[in-house]
Amino acid sequence: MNSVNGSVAPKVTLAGITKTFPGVIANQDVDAEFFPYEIHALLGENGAGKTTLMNMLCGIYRQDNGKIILDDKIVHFTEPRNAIDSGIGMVHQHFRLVNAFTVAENLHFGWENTPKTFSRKDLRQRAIEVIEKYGFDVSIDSYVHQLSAGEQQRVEILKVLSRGAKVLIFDEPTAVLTPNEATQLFENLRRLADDGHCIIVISHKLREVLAHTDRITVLRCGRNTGTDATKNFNEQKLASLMVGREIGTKKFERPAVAKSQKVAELKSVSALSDLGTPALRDVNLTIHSGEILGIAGVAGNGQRDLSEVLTGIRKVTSGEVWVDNTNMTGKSPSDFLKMGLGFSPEDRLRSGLAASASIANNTVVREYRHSPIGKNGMFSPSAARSVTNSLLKEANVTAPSLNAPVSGLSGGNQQRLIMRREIRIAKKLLITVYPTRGLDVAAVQDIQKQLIERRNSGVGVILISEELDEIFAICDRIAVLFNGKILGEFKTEDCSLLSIGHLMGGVMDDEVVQV
Amino acid sequence: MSKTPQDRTPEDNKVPFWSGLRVKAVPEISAKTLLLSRLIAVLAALVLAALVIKFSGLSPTALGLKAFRSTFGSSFGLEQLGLLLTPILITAIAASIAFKMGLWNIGVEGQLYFGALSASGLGIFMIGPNIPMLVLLAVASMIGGALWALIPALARAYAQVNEIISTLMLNFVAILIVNYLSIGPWRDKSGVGVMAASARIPYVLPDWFEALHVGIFFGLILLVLYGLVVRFTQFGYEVDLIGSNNGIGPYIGVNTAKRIVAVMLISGAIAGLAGMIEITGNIHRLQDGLSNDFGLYGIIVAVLARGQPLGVLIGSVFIAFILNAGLVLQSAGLSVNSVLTLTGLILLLVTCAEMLARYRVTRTAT
Repeated sequence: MNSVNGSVAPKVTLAGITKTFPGVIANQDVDAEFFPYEIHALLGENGAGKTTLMNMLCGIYRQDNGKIILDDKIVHFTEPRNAIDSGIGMVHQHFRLVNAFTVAENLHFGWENTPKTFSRKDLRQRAIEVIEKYGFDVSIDSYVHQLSAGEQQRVEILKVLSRGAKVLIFDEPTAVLTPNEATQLFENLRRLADDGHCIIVISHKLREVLAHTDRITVLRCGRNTGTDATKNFNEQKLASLMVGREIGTKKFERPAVAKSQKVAELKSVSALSDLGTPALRDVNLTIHSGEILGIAGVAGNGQRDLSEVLTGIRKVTSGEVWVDNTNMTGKSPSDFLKMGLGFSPEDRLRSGLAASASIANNTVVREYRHSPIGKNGMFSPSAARSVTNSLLKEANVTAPSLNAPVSGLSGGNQQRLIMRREIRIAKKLLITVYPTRGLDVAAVQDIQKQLIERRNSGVGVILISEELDEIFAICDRIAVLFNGKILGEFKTEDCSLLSIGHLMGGVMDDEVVQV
Repeated sequence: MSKTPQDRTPEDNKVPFWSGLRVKAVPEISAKTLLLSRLIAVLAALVLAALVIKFSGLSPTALGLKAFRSTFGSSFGLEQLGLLLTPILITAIAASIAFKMGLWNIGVEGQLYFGALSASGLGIFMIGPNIPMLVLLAVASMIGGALWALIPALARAYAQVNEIISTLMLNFVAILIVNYLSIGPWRDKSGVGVMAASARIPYVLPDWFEALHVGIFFGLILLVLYGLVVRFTQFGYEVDLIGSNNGIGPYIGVNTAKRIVAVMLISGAIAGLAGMIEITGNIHRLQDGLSNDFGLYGIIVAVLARGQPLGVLIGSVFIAFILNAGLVLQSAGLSVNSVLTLTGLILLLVTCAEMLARYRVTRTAT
């Protein structure tokens, strides 16, 4: 499938690109060429400078040094508009959509030929055309805030495609997709590439990159550490280029934990979503100490609601929530916290962190009420700083200043901070939603190892994830969540990737589940 | 007709001469830069002020010196400064605590008025020894101010009603109620007093100097308390977190709605106390215009100080000085409108500097 050959000129050439932020070198002397007719992966760890590099190509940042050459011409993008006009489009990891607008309305931002007058019907018509052309499944009249993360991303992709971009950049595009959707996405990308588009995929998923791309460029610490045709790479080689050391795909030891007992139980629990529609339907689940229960499912099938019910944040409409043999139904989130429960939520910036508050204040979120930081309603900033220092060290996170806003940390470091913070207080139960989403190999293994360690020390762990590889690698039992229902519960050794995959799509024993 | 990206000619991508120039937002600016930008703003404002005075046919240098000397050069001037400083400082603290939580309490002015009203009602109709009565009046004013903040607080907490609009509108309501009572049911019927005011309130804050009452100490104590609460209590910590992310409340086990109400009530109570201090220390009657827009100046101070206690103090002194200088200039023959223009100009420029300090114009390498 590799269409790249000597006769095709590069669509985009980056020459000696350097970009620094105060105290940080994001990119240094990066050279890279991206061709039409190819899918080119940009691979690297968190903070390796992949996104920064692409942001410069998109006119969001301006390089300090170096040239961007598009079709043999040096280009100077002063704002994203210029890049879009030149046919460069980016699908961001964090969606740039207007929540209060419908899908059809969102698709038309930046529409070049917007007529002077147009009706809602015109918008819908054009949206339908765009959606049909690219074969994406989105409901046109839904408001963006009603959509799952996966659906929102599809709208983002459509938005860029509808602007007629020739160079398409995808920042971690499959992070929120199911395996099937991911395959479908890459099929679409291949079609676009065959049409002469230049596709750049920022990723850290080795397997995906190896399976679906033509060429790979690896970035480490802001530098290009290797570019070659995909067929000349394998997992080990890529991983060593990414992290500078050989890392094998890890198998975790999961010793049997003796005499496990119930730590949490949902009895026929139903709950409503923020929009008042049924989110959970008659869910029965039991979590034992010393086990990891994986909840597989496509985003938007009740994952967030399930995690919120288990932490007291969302009230149940019927059924009972038990933690550690105590009926917690209707209790407040702070009562749940007192039961020795840790929670790393789905959307870290919206519910797990206070973005503009300091790193120190965000780190002590779980411990500020207890000695040494808190006592009789008082708060000791110096104790908070020392707790922060030791927690950051455990989490393997380096911070420029503890007083800097936490939003300055990279996504991976934010997640490491949250995980460590929650693991420290999870005495009975640890609930994690997509804990490794958007993280690199080293961070993923780090976090998976920590989850296993918690399990081995007798904590019940609930892992809500879309990554079946991850679920199969570390979970003792697997339950599938579809449309707010638990479709099945298995021991990991009793089920296959295929059967779980089917259930995630709502197919049960070759029959579509009626909801 | 606009072109689609496909049929754009190379000419469309020509580089204009200003393309290298970029206005760039700076994520973090140092305290030094901020201070410098404010100093430049004050200087620029002074130059503009000098021009205005010059064109009014007066000598800018002589008037400037006079304004400065009559504020800082005499104990009378300092006392005047203190009188203006007290309500600005206290309302600035009231606004700051709300801002910390991400609540735009624009209603400190109205809460000040309602605090003054509550204290006056008690002061006019109840008889008792001075000190216990003052304590009672203070408590009443705080309850009054808090009550005036209650409706916007509940609306924001439980119905997501924007508090900027509701608190702002209630300012006018509070001022009109005070107006009605002071020239209506509570007016001075003795015949000796001023026409458009309530009866005299006999309970008086002790004086520190001849004209300056001890209210300034309330302000300073409140400021220290504010600094301590924000920094050294779990309450202050939670307010900082929730102020940064409204959604984090349930995650840390704090009921956000209740906390919004609590913070708004505290803010209102502090503003209300400023009203009582004005009544018992300075004006001694409930009347229209008992606050010289002090609450609004307090809001400006709070915005500029970004919740920093020292910033609140410096900002309050600065604005009190400008107001006092304005009075001096007025007595020297400059029209009221010119004085108000100058005051507004200075504040506008300082606020602009605050914004502009966050951007840089750079020429990038091509």
